[in-house]
Amino acid sequence: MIDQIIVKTLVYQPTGHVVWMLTAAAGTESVITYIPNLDNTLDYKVYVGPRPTKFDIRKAFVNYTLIKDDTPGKISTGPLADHHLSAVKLSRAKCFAAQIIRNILKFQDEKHNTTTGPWAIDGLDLNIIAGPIKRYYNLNDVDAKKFAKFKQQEINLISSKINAAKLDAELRIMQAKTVEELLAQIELIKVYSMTNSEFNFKSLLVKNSCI
Amino acid sequence: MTEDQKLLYISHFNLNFTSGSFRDCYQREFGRFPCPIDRFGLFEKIGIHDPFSFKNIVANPIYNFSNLSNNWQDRYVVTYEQVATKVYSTAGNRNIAVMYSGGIDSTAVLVALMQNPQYRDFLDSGRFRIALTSTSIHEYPEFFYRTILPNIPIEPTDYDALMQDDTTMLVTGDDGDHVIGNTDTPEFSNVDGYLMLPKSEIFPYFNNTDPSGLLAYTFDQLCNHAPFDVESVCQLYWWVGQCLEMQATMCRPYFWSHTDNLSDIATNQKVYRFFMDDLWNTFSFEYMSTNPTYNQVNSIRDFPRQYIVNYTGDSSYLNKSKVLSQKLVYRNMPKTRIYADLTYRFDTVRFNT
Repeated sequence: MIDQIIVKTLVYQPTGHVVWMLTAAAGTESVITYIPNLDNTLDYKVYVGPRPTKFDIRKAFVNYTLIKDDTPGKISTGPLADHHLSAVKLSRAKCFAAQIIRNILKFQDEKHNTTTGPWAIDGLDLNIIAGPIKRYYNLNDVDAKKFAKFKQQEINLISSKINAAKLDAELRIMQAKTVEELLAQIELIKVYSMTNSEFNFKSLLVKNSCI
Repeated sequence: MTEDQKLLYISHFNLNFTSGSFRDCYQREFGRFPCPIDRFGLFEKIGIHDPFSFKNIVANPIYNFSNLSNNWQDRYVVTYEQVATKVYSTAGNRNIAVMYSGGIDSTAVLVALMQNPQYRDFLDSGRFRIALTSTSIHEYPEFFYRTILPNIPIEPTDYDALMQDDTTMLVTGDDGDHVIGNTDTPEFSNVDGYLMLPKSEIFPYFNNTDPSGLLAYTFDQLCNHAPFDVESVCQLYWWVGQCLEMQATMCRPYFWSHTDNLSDIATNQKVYRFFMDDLWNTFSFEYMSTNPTYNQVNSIRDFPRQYIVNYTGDSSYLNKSKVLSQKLVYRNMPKTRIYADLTYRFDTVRFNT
């Protein structure tokens, strides 16, 4: 197993060329992985097998020759016709954009513990959760439940706002018609998210041959 | 750019600064959040180039420096009462939502509103509530658990919902820290009572922050246009705040929400900025003209702290330090530019300034 790799890919349907990929030693990858398939127009395919010896996966990916077809255990290379190149480049740029923006907004989830704190449970029973509040703050039943309800509303509100920001970002990315439009949308999302990230998305696209 | 297209506000997140420009120097001293806007049109008079053409919407102060009060604390308390009455009359039949950060200013606002004779009517008819976050509680938990929680409806802070709700008027404590002195004043000296040092004593500090001397020059020149002789460091920073910092705060609820209705942005009709009321403006200018004695930044909050303690009886609050509780609230910024014709734009244009 240790010599095996896993390659998760999003594939351009007309030709089978890999738009986006994630590689890891088989068995070591995270169980839950974010796959940036925003509009489900790309095929999600997984290769598990030995690392190819006849070509470099990373290089083939960057120069748009990596192909993942439907055959299990097979990953190969082949040229991409020129008339498909711009569409694949844009799709790849969108995948990277979706990943970057997801990580930016994940920061807000982490800051507010929207998925990890004691209030982040659907169907939280106010009678039960009010118990520690009542004891810790020496409150009566009414005030403890009022406070618990407020906390629940607050976490729901923050979580909804962050999810709305995620959706807004995805829609902005999806609607970009060119890489230039996408770059403009990314800058906008960065401002919108109040991260003011110095991360240079354009350099990532250049590195991965999207521009 | 037409007259109407003048900016009211722009987010600093969207700006690049020309090295050595006034805003570049200003950012190094004050940080990235405030966007300095020339309230009194002084930039041109002192030779500072401002490429933005901001239109001022902060009210002009009305003051009279003759026959000033001998008891400022009494007058301070009376001003709370008068402005609270104006808040209720402005709300009319609408609901009131107090934007409570837990800080000294919003606590004082709440105390003033709770002590007003109209409070009970609004509360009993379900027209008085508090918008807050969990972080609002940590700054003064005793007040929250003893006074707010048992007595007043609470809800999580949601500027989006509140700004788009025509039945509700927001009340904020914004710019309360500009009424007396300026809480942004740097602790540049170890001298006890450094706020009362002659203003010239702070210029070496500015020249250290900004070796070009532009910051010191600008602040010195602004003082030449103050309505009274600016003598102390405390007065200097208060005047800088009055000249440059009010408008950005004023616009906050409008760029922290998706509201399309900007028609009341320059008034207190939709968002009642309690401490930007004309009465506070008058108090602020007249009181600061006396060069009141304050030893350090924390002490310039003595009046509001005492006002709160008079209501709560909790004297330990007098030693409380300022906490930037508002900064911890989750929000985004849907608008990056707001224009004088009340259009807005959320875009990536980056200015050099």
